[in-house]
Order: sequence, then structure tokens, then C-alpha cells
Amino acid sequence: MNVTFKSLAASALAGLVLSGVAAAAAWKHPKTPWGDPDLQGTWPISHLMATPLQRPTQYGERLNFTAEELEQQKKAVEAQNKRYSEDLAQNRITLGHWVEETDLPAQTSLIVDPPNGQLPPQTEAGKKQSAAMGSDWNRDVFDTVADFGTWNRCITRGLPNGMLPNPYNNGIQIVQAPGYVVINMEMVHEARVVPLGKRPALDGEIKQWLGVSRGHFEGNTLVVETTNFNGETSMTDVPTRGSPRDPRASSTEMKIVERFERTSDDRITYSVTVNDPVTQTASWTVRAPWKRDDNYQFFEYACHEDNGAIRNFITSSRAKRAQEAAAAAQKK
Amino acid sequence: MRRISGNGLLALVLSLACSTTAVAADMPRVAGKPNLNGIWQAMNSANWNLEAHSAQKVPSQWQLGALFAIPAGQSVVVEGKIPYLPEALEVRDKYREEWPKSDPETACYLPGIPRATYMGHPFQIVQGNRDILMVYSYATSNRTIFMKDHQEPPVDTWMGRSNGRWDGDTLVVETTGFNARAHLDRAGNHFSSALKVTERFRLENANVIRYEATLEDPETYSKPWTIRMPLYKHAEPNAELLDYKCVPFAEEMLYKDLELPRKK
Repeated sequence: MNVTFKSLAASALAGLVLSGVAAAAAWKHPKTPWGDPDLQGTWPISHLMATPLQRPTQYGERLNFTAEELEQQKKAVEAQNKRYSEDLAQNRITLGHWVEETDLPAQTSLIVDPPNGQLPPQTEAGKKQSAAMGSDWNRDVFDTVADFGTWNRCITRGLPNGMLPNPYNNGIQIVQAPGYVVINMEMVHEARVVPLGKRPALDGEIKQWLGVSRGHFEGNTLVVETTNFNGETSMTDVPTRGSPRDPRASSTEMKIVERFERTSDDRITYSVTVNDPVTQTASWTVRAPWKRDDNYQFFEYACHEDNGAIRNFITSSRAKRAQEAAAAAQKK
Repeated sequence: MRRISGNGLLALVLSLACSTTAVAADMPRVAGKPNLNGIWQAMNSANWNLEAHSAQKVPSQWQLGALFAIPAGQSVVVEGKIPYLPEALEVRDKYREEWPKSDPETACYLPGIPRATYMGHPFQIVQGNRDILMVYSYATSNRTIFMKDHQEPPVDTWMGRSNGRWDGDTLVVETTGFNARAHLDRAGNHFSSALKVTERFRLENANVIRYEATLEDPETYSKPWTIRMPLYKHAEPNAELLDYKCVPFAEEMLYKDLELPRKK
């Protein structure tokens, strides 16, 4: 190197940059005993809860907040994080019990492409399909189970939705074995078993809620391609901040490509690109930092087992209709 | 020490080698431990009834004719019968009488342990150098076998908490913390939240695991008892665990009383 120690020390900025480089160079990507890049650990995404999926329009094409903008958001995040202890102090259960603690937003939006951070427009077919989808966020009268979303029914959050932050049960765990990577999602107890290597895709007749995944390593980056979706899940859902209120339909032609790039012991850069020519006019990409937390514990997400929502929504819809009919009859 | 001839010694060494080390040398390993990776499935009718039972029809399922009847099976219970306490036996009989409504499997609820192992659906063991994951096709359920961080479960759950260790070449898994809402089979066999399950997974060869599970539950049984069965590996070169997400299959049954319109 052509710099003396003294001149290096003279420049604080250069010192910072170089020490960062030195640390990165010193860090060796861990490998499993059988030689694969090791991504194993618990990577809950609770820290991303305050990062919106779509970018508030005032930030235009800017992905990073200024220090000042972050400072302004501190209060709201701190208030959110205090809600649980406030609940306990007041011996009550409010959303403070549901919504977990989080960090300041990592960036202005999870979506990094299109550059404006917005979901691309839907195709005409996509709009039609979305309007026909069930959801308890955009309707209040329910007649059948089809009026509910797949998460309301405790089936799945779907993809990429299941890999996006939610107010609770954000656990994601990566487990590896020779020839396999498993992405275990706490919510709806879904373990995505990803075979590695040149295995052909499954017959198109086989459709699954989370599709069928195939993985390979590009250098140290795990790349997972998923197809064979059943077209019954929404790509996004309201609980992820900055999501559209209406469900965003997927089709059986959806293909998602995820990349898991580990950059240090406790960081992975995760990205997912969603392509669905039937419902979307363009592809879109989410990219966000993951933080490792091996102290995070999964809780069993036994949702269907005590799902009273379907029955209660349907019976209360009927009661509401009966009330309205009685009121109308009285008017006459 | 007794004198033995050279030939005799050789024979002794060989026979020892054949009985123990020959198996160990053949045994596929991962990170130094027997390699249990693969997609496994029980091939018996234990999920119908752990105890011995005849082939028989299911009266409530008459529409399905011969498609849905109970195949005969020998008991997988080592002791033959489950040693129920008298009151627990009455509960079992009541569940049996009220089947299929009484069975959590009918509603696609989580299977619990050990039932997840022998439901007749395949499951995949994912074993690297850390915790072991068992991923079940049925209801996309799964459980982590914690190999280091052994803990008492903080809350009772359907699947319990599984703490694992190696006893020589046998994977031993102790599971407690059950909410006791799962059943053991379709014949009403059941347990309480006091249940402790100790499972042993021993690789016999690349394609067979000798599986056994001992159930201790002083609130339900008069003494511990054990089930034993082989698990077989899916040997198709393209074997893959496919999901059996059964919630949508159960909804019509679960909400039958609401007389939901079939189509909008």
C-alpha cells in the first residue's frame, strides 16, 4: 500500500473507509461442513416493520432517508415500542400486545424497483382478478369462505407476501443440509424446502400455495426461483406497512426470484423480484437488509385451530343484513 | 486371561467387526452423525389405530364405498395394548364413538407428536450441523429438534417442544409441552398435557430408520409404553416433499352448519 500509517491516520474519512474495507476483507463467508455457503440462523424481519413496502411519494426516487428525516420518525417508533409495557402497566390488552417492537425504517421503501418505489400498475386481467379476491380489509359483508383472504383462512400469506414484514410472528429461519436449503417461516408454520442444483422444475400440473422452489449458489449468493403457484394468493397484504388496501392477485404464471447475499455474520441482503405477466404490467423488486437474531424464538402459529373469524364474520354479516331489513320494513 | 488360538482370535475380531463396525462403516454420515436426511414415510395402518385392528368399513362414509375403509393392522404398541387408566379408557371409547368428528385430523389441525411421524403422509428430515428440522407434508406442519438449546417449553402447544441429542448413532428426541388437543390416531387414542414423548431414530441402512417412541403420561396411562415401526425412505430419484395444505379441504365440513352458499 502506498500510504504511510501517519498519513492514513491524518484522514478520518479515509481511515473509516479503509477500516471498513479491512473488516470486510477480514470477514470470511462461513461454509457448512459440506462446503456450501452457510446462511443458517434466525433472521426475523421485525426490524423492517416501520419500512413501508411502497415509498411515500414525497421521497421521489430516493431510497435513503436523511439523518434529519430519520430523527423525525424516532418518536413514532419509540411510542410504538412502548405500547406493550404501557399495556402491562395498565393491565389491558390493546394492539400493544399484537404489534411487536421494531427499528427505525431501514430505507424509504422495501420496493427498490421500479425506482419510484411503487408497485407497477396491474394488467386489466390483474385488476379484474384482484377485485374478485377475498379480503377482510376491503369488505365488511361476508357470505362464504371465498370472501376471505388466504391468511384470514389460516392457509398461507402467499409469496412474496410471506417474506415481507408483518406486525407479529416475523420469524424466518434458514436451515441447511447437503443439497437443500430450508426457509422456515414462523407465520402459518410454512417451511419452504428448496432443493439445490440442476433439478428440473416439477410438472406444471402440480400447483402449490407457495409454489415449487429451486435453488443454486452464484458465488456465495443463494438464488431461489419459484414457479408452479396456484394463483390463489395475494402478492401483498395490508398488515405490511405501505401496501395497497386491495388484494393484489397473482396468477399461475407468477415467477419469483429471491437472492440471499450474506454480507457479515449478522447481515443478509435479501431481495425478491416478482414477475407475473398475467396480472402485472412490469416486474418489481423488494430489497432489504436482514438482521440475525439467534435469540429470537418461534412460537407455534396455530391459527386455523382456533379460527373463529370466518364463522363470526359470516354470522355477524347475516345479523347486520337482518337488522337492516327490519329497519327498512319499519320505515315502510 | 484364557488362552485363545490365533484363529479363534481372528474369528472373534471378525465377528465383532461384522456385528458393529461393518454397519457403522456403511452408514452415510453428515457432519459426523448418521445422515437421516431424506423423505420418509411409515408404511402401516398405525394412524388408523395403534393397536391391532381388523379391516372394516366406516359407516358414516358409505358414499365412498371401498375407497375409504380401514385396512387391517397389527399393533405397533410393543406391549400390545395401551395401558390406559380406567377413566382415560372411557374417554378413548367416547372419542372412538364420535369419530370422525372427534378427530383433529378431520379438521386439518396440527398433528402433534408422535402422530406426525406415522400419519401416512411423507415428511422430510433436514439435518445439517445444527438443529434438525422435520418438515411434514400434512398441514405444512414442522418442528425443530433443538440439539443444543435444551429448554422447558414456555407455553403448551400442539407440537410441543423437541430437545434432541445423539446417543451413539441414535437420535434421541424428548418432547414435552403439549396442549393435548392432538390425538394419537383415528381410533380415539389420546394423551394429556403431562405427556412426555421420547423418540429414537436409528438408521438401519440408507433406506430404513428404526423408529420408536415411548409415551409417559401418568394422568392417562398406568405405565410408560412404546410404539415401534420402521420408516422407509422415498427412493425415487426425483422424490420431493409436496404440500398437503388441508385447511381448504376441511372448511366445508367445519362450516356445514352455516349452510354457506356453494357459489356466489
